[in-house]
Amino acid sequence: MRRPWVITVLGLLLAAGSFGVLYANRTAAYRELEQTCGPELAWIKKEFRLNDADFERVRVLHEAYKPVCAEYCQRMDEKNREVAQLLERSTNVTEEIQKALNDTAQLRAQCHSEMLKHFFQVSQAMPPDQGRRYLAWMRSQTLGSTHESMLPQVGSHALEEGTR
Amino acid sequence: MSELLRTWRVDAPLPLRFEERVWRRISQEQESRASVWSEWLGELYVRWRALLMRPAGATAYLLALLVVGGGLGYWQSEHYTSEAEAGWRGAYVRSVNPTAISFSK
Repeated sequence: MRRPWVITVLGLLLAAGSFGVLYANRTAAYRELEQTCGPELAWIKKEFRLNDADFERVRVLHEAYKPVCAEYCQRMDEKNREVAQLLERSTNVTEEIQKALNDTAQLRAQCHSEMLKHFFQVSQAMPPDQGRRYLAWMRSQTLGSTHESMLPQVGSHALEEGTR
Repeated sequence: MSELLRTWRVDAPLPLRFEERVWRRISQEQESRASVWSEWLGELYVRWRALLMRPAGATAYLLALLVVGGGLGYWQSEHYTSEAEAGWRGAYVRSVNPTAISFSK
């Protein structure tokens, strides 16, 4: 009499077990990678199939670049705020605004130059073919003609293009 | 006619277990009015039991649940990995691009 119930429960346990085993197995590598590399560098390691030695070189470069990037970020914010304040106060493009815009453009150019320097260094720390792919993708992500190009979905398309 | 009916007396005794039979018929009537839904559930339960009592049926049921559980696990893990990769990718770009950070604020 109890057999159908036992089999029913057994089936449900089997379903839960197979779900858990498959899910845990297929996501374990991702969770481990994120724990060991952090979310920023986990993608680099996985996407460009870096071995430990290559990854270590990239990690060192990344850590060295972070303070530089943070400083530029802060300066860009200050410049953007300055321009915004000037624009609030005037109804025309004054000399002061023109100067602030020029300064901002100059700062952005410096920032792009530092960024590109970093991208080249990182690409050279990778195997050549992966380095080229990395450079192509980072260019499309950061130096696109519009700010929309910085969105990940557009970047992933560019990445696919790069793999072809 | 009314007068006749009023004076009419029935002397014949009631059939054996008359009351019990009346109650049984009432009960049968109520059962027949049970909802289609509960009838369907009852039928399903009977068929389910019959299926699981057969070795082939029980095996098929267990295999089906194994496949369904595994399929859901696979689907969810795909979702997890694609979300994780998109998140990592965005985090990397933000971490190396000061202008992106600046404009995102």
